Amino acid sequence: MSAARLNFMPLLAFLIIALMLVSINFAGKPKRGGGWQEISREVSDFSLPLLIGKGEFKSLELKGRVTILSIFASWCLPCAAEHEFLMKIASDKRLEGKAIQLIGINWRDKENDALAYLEKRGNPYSKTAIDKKGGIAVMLGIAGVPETFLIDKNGRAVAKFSGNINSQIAEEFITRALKLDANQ
Amino acid sequence: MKWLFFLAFVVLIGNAFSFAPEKKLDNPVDEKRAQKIFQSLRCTVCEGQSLAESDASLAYGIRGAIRDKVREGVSDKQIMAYLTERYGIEILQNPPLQKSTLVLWLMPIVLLLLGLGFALKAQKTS
Repeated sequence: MSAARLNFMPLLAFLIIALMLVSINFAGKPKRGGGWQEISREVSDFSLPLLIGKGEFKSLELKGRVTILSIFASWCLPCAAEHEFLMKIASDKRLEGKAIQLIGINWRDKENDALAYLEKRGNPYSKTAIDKKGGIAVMLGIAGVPETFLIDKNGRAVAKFSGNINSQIAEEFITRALKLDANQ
Repeated sequence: MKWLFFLAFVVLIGNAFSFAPEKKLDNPVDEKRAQKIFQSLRCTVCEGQSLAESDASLAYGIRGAIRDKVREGVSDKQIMAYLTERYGIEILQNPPLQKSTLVLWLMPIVLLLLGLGFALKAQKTS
């Protein structure tokens, strides 16, 4: 074997190891990170206590209405960053009179902190449920907070946005919700 | 200065109790089964940790969901299917051999064979 070919060996070994590491990193990973993800997931039956008022939020309430479901926590900084855009969705005139609701799920939080969080920033949700153990959000397949789901009138989650929403994403949620409402 | 340390201690202790404590299953057999499932899963938001040892909020949530399923009598296989549907095979400590993981499984063997080949050739030339 010539000296030139032997010198090439470390580079080849490096490339092979690099390829292996890249493969390990991407093997079997679902699409993750910030952004939209199209999904098709039947939301299982569940009921959660309400944060404000008495009673429960039941998954049955997802039927017959398009739902924008926001999962948030008071300790989550990106949640605070997206809050103003949730408020904009809640007050958007185009949604008035439509079968579209904005529901909040407070995830793994302290009730008093969650209440103070909404009192300080305003409450965009028509109902807010408490997922103290975090299992309902796992059923939905969250990878962290905040995550916002779009659920059709049959109670099927059709899309989710991971990360904090901004003005453009809020507009996309409104457009998609209106489209779902019109088509179902 | 002592007061400062005391204050820091109180704040840290307060944070430690911020969330609902992890409640184990009443039935020790079920809890053991749940623990075994935790060990076979990875924390998807913290590299290099199993679900059993992770302190990430998502890991707490997933462990809670698994305990609920175990309590309901759902089989291990069904629990794995439930989680891989949501988090991909990335959540498994031992992902199955399939198209997306083929390189991952075969690369160590290819690397070993290449290394052996190179070593033999180098030995011959010397």
